[in-house]
Amino acid sequence: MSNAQENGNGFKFAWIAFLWACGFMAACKIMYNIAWYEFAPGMHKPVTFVAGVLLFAVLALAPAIVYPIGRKRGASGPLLVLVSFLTLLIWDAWEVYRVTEFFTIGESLYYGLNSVFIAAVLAGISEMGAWEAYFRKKEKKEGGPGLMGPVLTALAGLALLYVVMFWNLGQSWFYIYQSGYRALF
Amino acid sequence: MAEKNISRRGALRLMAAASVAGAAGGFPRSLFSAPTNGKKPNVLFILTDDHRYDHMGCAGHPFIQTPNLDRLATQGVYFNNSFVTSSLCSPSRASFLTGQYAHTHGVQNNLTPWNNDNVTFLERFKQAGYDTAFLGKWHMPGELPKLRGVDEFVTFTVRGGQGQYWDCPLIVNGEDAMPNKRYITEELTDRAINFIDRDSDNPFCLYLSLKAAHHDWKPPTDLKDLYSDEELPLAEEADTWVTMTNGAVFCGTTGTLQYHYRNYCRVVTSVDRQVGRLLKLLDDKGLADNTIVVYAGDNGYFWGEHRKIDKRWAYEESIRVPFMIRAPGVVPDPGRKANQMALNIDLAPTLFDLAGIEPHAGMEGQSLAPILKNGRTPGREAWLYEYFKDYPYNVPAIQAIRTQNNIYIEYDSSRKPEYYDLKADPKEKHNLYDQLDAADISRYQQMIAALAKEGRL
Repeated sequence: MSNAQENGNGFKFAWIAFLWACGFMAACKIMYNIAWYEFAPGMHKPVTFVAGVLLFAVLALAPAIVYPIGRKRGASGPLLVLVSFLTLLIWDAWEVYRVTEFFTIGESLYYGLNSVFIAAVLAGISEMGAWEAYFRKKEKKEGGPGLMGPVLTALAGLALLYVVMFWNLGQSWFYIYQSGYRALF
Repeated sequence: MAEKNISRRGALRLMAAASVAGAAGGFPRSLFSAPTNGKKPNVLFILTDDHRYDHMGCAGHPFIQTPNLDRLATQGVYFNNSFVTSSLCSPSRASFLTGQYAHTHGVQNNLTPWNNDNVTFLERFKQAGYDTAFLGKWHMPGELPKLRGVDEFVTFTVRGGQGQYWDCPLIVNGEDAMPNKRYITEELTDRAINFIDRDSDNPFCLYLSLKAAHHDWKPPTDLKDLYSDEELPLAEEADTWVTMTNGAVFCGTTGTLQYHYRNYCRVVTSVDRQVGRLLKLLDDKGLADNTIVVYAGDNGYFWGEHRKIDKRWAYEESIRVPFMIRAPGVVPDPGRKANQMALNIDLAPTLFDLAGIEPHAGMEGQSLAPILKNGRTPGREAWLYEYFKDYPYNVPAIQAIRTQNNIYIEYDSSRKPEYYDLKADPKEKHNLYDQLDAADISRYQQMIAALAKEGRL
């Protein structure tokens, strides 16, 4: 199989993985938000608990699933990174749309840069960096790209993730985010 | 840290004993209906953060132990129908200080700055010959003001003015300072005790503004396991992840609902313990019979009700607060529960009334002193709830009219207005807006307009 064929085949699998992740995310969101407590009060707590866990998992791990599936079958480059992030981007677009009830268009777009989205992107960068390092080590191509780049990418992603989500439990980042809002609006 | 280590069981036992003593009259009620010999009364106002109306022993909570707050309720008047006119820290705090609605004092949300032209009740007390202090959470946007008429101003600006439970850096009369105690509630209480214990012949007016029970709910170490085995009385519609979904990420509640709720209860108990220290000091110094003590919360809090966390919305869990006044020599029947609606904007006019200070122009609250003196005094008929947009929190601007038995809510969004019959539907599950006729809606809208313009009906 030529490189181009491998690449195309890899993307086919990456798109399929994305569609699964996206569909799964939508199902979890619908399950979580549906008014179970009105129809089946006994089911509300367990259903929302499981749906919530799965929703967080798919948002945090979609790139870790899509990227290696495509990469293993030969896909690579910026388009694979984009496909890996698509689930997250769709979720964020939905969030931006949802908050247009409360905010202006500009404010809603800025809302799209909220800490959950940023943290999920950073987690995705780390995951993809780790997978890329794994594949490069496995392939051991003569004269091929080294491990340093993806390893550093993964570590930088983790460090920034700490700053956004875990530095004072995210409060410090929140005040930076608020300063940005004041400056812009 | 000076916090004494006691076991969870020991702590519960102590609190239960104190509770029983209060209920059984171990603390003399008659003292709090005694005359004050014509001396100017001292004022101790304790304001907590996010303390919801029903999270006290005297409010019927199934396990929270608050013997000292219960004692206050027993020795004064417990306004069990009390509200804030804006359920958000900064506007509500400014309303307590000024006796005005948010649309009047101008602190509309956590982003709009305090106007230095605002007159606080502390300023008026100073003019009346009092020693005054503001100790604790200021948390209003903009530069820290040089509060007129405040002799001692201790606050913090860390974390956007929210402060932190442990090792909170302070600003003491404009100068940076480190706390003497590691736990902020204890530090502020120590400073309050020192202020009350100062060497002065003047009466005092002390505003003690605690960080507790705001997130991130870190209890003192000896209370960290308190209530661990209790079954949580969470609403049927509550779920574990309501703390992190649908925009709740900004509410500082990353983690599970149950984890945060237990810590909230522990932090409320830690507040009660410090209130106990203050009440004991007043007793020990012989000041109790001439000191007005007021305890209130700045807003309520959702713990999963309506599938929400945080506050802001116009539902009962968010807008109702604890509010009790112990006014020796004023209340003929201490221990009374008052059903008349009391508001945060009523604090300043009430204190003026009790201290014989003439209220100034522009105040929109009304004195509760007549209700303190006579339980049959009618209360207000209606009041305005207002919430202004506070980015990035997912809540539209709100105006609502709350009457004794109903609430009418309008949103500045495409959201349908709401109307609840609170007697028949106290949990506000059934929106009756569609059953209102045009005349009813018009009447409520006119009330909103009148209150937003004049502050009174």
